[in-house]
Amino acid sequence: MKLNGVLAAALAAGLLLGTAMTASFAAEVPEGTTLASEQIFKYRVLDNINTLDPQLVEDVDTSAVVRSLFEGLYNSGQGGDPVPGVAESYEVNADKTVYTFKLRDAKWSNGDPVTAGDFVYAWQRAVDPKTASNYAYFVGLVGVVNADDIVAGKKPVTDLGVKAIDDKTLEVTLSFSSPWFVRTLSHATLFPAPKAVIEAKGVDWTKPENIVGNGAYTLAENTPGERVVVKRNPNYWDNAKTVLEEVQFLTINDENQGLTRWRAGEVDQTDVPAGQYPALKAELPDNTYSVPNFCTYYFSVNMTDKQTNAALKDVKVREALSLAIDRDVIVNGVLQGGQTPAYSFTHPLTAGFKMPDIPAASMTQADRDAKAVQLMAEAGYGKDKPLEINYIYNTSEAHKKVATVVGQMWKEKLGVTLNLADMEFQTLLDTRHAKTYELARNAWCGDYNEASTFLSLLDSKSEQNDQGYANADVDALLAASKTSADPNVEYAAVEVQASKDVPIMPIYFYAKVFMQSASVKGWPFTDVEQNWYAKDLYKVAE
Amino acid sequence: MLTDRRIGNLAHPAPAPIEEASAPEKGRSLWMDAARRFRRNRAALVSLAMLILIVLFTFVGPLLARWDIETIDWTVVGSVLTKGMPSFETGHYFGTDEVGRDLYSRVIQGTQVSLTVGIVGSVIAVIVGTFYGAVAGYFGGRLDSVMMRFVDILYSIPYMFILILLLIIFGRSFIMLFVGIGLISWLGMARVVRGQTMALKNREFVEAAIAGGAKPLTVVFRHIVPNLLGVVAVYATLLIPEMILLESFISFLGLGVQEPNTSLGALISEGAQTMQYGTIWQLAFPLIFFVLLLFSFFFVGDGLRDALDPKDR
Repeated sequence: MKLNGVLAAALAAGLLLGTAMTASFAAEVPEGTTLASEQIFKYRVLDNINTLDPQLVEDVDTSAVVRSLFEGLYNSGQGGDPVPGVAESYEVNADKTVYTFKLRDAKWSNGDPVTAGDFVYAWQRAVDPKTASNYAYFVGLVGVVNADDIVAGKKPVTDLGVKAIDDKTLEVTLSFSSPWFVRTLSHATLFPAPKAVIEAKGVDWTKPENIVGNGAYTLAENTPGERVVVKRNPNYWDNAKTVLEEVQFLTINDENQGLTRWRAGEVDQTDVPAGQYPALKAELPDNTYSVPNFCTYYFSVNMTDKQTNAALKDVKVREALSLAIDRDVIVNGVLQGGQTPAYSFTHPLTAGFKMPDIPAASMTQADRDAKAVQLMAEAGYGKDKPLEINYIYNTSEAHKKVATVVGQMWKEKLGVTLNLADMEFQTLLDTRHAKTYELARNAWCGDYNEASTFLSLLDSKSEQNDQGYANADVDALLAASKTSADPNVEYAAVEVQASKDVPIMPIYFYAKVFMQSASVKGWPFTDVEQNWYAKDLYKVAE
Repeated sequence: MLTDRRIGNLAHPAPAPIEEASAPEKGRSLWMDAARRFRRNRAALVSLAMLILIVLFTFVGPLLARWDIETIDWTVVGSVLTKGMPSFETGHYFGTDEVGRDLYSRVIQGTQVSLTVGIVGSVIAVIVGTFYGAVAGYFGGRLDSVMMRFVDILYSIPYMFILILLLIIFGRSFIMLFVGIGLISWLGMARVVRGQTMALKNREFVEAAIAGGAKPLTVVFRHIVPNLLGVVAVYATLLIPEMILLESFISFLGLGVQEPNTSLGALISEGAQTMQYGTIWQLAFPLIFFVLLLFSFFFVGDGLRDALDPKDR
């Protein structure tokens, strides 16, 4: 909770600075450091990098790749606070609804200048129903005028509240007063897009031979399911300060294999397999890290009629299932990596967010179990009428462990059989969006440090509302929170309502538990969002 | 010394010659001969005993188990390395797996699944393959061409690809696994049987049967198939370990039986992933059973071949 205070203070400081924040941020190599002769960073990712189109990106690892290829108006700095990217500075009106950005002389990797028009094109592209982005709702979420209506097809894309005053000046009009708007600009959806290239090449524009970006790196190789390689971009405006020559994103679909390859020096960073953190920390204290991470792990319940399991439509069953999950066992027994149990959705380290009082959070597990059994009996299920539920997750030993353990908890306490089926990550994403599942593994990482990044997923209009959850009260509360003096009131009400309706079963709040080679420096350990930029990293000689 | 011997001879008044004299009258069947040759093969005999022991163990073993295959021992969760070791005290004779489930029960279940897959695959091969091959071989001509080209076509399709597609499209289940394995297991058998039938069909006993007025199908099933059984038995025994390997490979890829059920391949895959953390028993026990099972089947198959087909030695 201390960290929470620090972040709030940092946010306040950032806002006070306002336009004064012009210092650039890049790899800050201290005097006298001997850099390694080979500046190649090899980063292990779990799943295939499924797109390189900034307006289509929807997962964390892919975002990391896209962040190296493109750059938004503002980046996120070491501690997670905004630092200037393509924008040099901004001005904002008194009620914080009109932001005017002054762009620097940045270039695309093909030498063309990055203009305000590139941002206008990209943002319009993001909300254009023709793009069909799963992040289209994001532009409306951060408040850009008319975004929701354009996504819904009610207005043309040209009505979007963003315009280029001239090549170097971008004006954004918001539908509500937003003190945190600048924090959202490091998200891939709001990155610029090269109009000429996209129009000339169509869907093939992200291929290595076609792609044009404005980030510190350019795409050198993209082998699906294997690796993505990016190389230093000499046209990047801050290229002089870039140290890493090359970054390799290696898809290794097995945490244990990742660890073996890290030990062999084949990757510089990899995730710690579930349950191995204590042993690895004891063995390699200087390479093993666990830092809070801005994500929540949860089970999505399909609330729509597209699934046939009637039991899941009964709120009592959903609540019983959620109560019967012993989060402490999962966190302390299975994962053991510094994660914390979750009973509500929004991450506790969210800036300015007050954790609401969820009744289940303060009960003992024995009480929860007793209540779960009682609710299940009331719903008419039990040992004589056993319930069967199908659960899907993306292939990973850690996800399988969590599923196995939860399945067994349900079986022992409620007589519920959980059938597990794993699938490739993109297939899981598509299945969840198509809502043709019963119960699915899900996780959400905040896109910017404000509670709405989580809670907006409960909005019936969000593309990322995989549950198909629709509660008019929740929608109204979320709308009201945008103009509220203290949005925490609405946020708490949404959390409480969600805990009653149980469209999701929160399991735990993430920690990023990873192994990193000692030669890698510049990692943003203190940023809860763990938004790392390859341009900020460097490798020292060992 | 001399007297001693004489007394010995007197004490046992030469029973052997009588037996020898009567033996030719009874006649020694092919099978008795084979059994005698098989018994002389030490490796095959030991393997057969091992196989019987393993099969017995999969039936008797569960009676001794204190945990079932899916119950998690909550006291072990989180400290598998220290508390999940093989121990009689905790009732986990083979230790526990990564999430705290009893490995003893899981290894038994895995062995059962692997054996079932092997035997079912082999039985399908024997039934379908023998009839298919015998009919094709006996009738010959165009029918033979059509039937065997069909087998060639099936052979030319990469079966692992088909199997994986099958399991992904129809979902993973025991039945799908058996269907998939059954689809491919009989092809080799059909070819072997066809070849043998071609060699047999011009022999005198077949001519005699035809002259006696037997219908073609009767000739195939009454006269040819029984004479193929030696080859079929050998081939079937050698097919079982192949099927077990195939299933294990599929399970190793993560496409085999569904949790909480398991097979030896799945257990070995899980064990191999965690061996770097010191929980070596998770790999060792399923691996021991797997290796014993495979070796036993191969040795028994080898012994059978030597016994039934001495010319090949």
